[in-house]
Amino acid sequence: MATECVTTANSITEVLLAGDAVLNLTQQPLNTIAGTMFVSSEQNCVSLENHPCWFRWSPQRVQEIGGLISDAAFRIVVVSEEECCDAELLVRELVAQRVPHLHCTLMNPCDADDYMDEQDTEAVSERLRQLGYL
Amino acid sequence: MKLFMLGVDGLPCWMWQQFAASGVMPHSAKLLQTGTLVPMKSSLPEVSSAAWASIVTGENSGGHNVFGFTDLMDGSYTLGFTSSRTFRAKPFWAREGAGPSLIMNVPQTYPAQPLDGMLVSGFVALDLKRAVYPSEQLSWLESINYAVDADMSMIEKGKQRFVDELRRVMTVRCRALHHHWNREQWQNMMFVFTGTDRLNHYLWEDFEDPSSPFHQAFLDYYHEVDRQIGIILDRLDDNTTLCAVSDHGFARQRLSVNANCLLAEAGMLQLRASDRPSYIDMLPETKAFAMDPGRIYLHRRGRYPSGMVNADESEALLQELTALFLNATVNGQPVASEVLRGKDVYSGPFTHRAPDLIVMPAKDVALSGRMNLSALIEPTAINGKHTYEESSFFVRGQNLGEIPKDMKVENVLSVIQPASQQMKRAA
Repeated sequence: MATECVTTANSITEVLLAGDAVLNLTQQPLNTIAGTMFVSSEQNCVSLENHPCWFRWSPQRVQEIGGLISDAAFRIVVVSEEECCDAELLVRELVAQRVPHLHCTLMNPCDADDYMDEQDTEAVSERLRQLGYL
Repeated sequence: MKLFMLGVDGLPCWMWQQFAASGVMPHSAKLLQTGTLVPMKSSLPEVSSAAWASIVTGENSGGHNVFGFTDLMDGSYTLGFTSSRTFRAKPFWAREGAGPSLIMNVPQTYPAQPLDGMLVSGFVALDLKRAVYPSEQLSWLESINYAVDADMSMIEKGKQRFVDELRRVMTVRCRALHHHWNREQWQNMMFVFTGTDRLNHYLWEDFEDPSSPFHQAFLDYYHEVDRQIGIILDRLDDNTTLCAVSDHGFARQRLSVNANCLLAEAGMLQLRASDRPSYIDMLPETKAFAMDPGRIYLHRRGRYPSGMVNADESEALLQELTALFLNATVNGQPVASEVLRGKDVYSGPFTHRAPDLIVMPAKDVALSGRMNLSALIEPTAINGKHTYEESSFFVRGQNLGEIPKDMKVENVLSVIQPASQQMKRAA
């Protein structure tokens, strides 16, 4: 089963499930769903928080992250930007320790984000109607 | 070049063999002797957006999040359209170490996103400006009147005009392919013929009827596709892995049945009166609804704003719906051949967004998910439909992975790039 995906800070809710513990390696605020927890690295200890926080990675913390898995937090969702070395290291460790996880890479904003306005919607609808989908 | 992936949208494996043997596709006849051709299973449901997404990512819909051309936005009744920005797994050309890639006319890649190389989007591309990356290549494409899509309204002017339009579009796309092929040393190339799908939808009855005045036009179109395939083959060296795929099979469509009408007749779907009925018009009493083509969703509490179906009643409802579709007949003809559970067929992080049931249409039947309930049997000029079975997978090259006995669209990358797929799995 896939343990990685690409998404955006806003659309990450598509993949989040209640009970996910989000480990945010980016500096971006993320959209959330009810029940989303965050992994915090404040005060040199790893903990679960109910409010958004960012995570500062260091290799020593892997053991602690695995220890967060419980009935309340069933999966670590690592969120990083493209080509993030910290995320690669972290995910490798999570795999080695068999910690349930998902790695979400945030897509860079691009011109394609302007898609789709009302006019686009109507045009796509028409194309799909012609092929019998709508 | 490491890889050339050639797509022929909607080309059934049996038809490719038949056309190769009969002389309609002579270049294919030579090609097929140099590698392995097997029938392949499409995505569930057998819709191009999901199938091409599986081919280029190696995931099923639960992994890439494309279940059809349309989807409801989470927690709402707003109809959304899948696009390159809703595609949630990396295609092979975006993976680390892929190298420069030329990607042309692959469905589901619009709007064009940055990559190492060049991309011209395929269906449902609307505007060439947003279909091309990098934008420096736009002016040349405009200068040759590159077409991001055929003018489908030509079917209303007659089948010959329609076929002429498909040929015009294919010609200009192939010209663009070779122009850009010449510009750089690409590591990966992918090019998809999509006119074949359109031709099959509207002229399948003519293919099946040798006395039809358009039978020869159908064959001639495939002959031209084959000629273009021959030109491509002449340019490939023996070190390049060549993979040729189609996204689904094709068969005759005699009846288009609106699955939402069946649900409404059974009391499962209730809409408030509206001039343009849509998902937002569903009443809380609605138990289930359909989206194209044959995706059935329970109207679950918590998932949809006015959904009232609780988790503890879902199993009984799923059984009831399965029986409903399996027993349904229209004009004495069965509607469904099989009903599958979403949880049994998808895997990956987006499985929770999957349809609860997938209704596989019976022979000659196509299913739609329109919310306009005015006609159970929908009038349409379309006479060819997609099939789950019998898409095509051909491969030749070195260091290939094993072809699974039950070959599916999501297995393509593990055959042609086994090392890359293993690395991805290990990660």
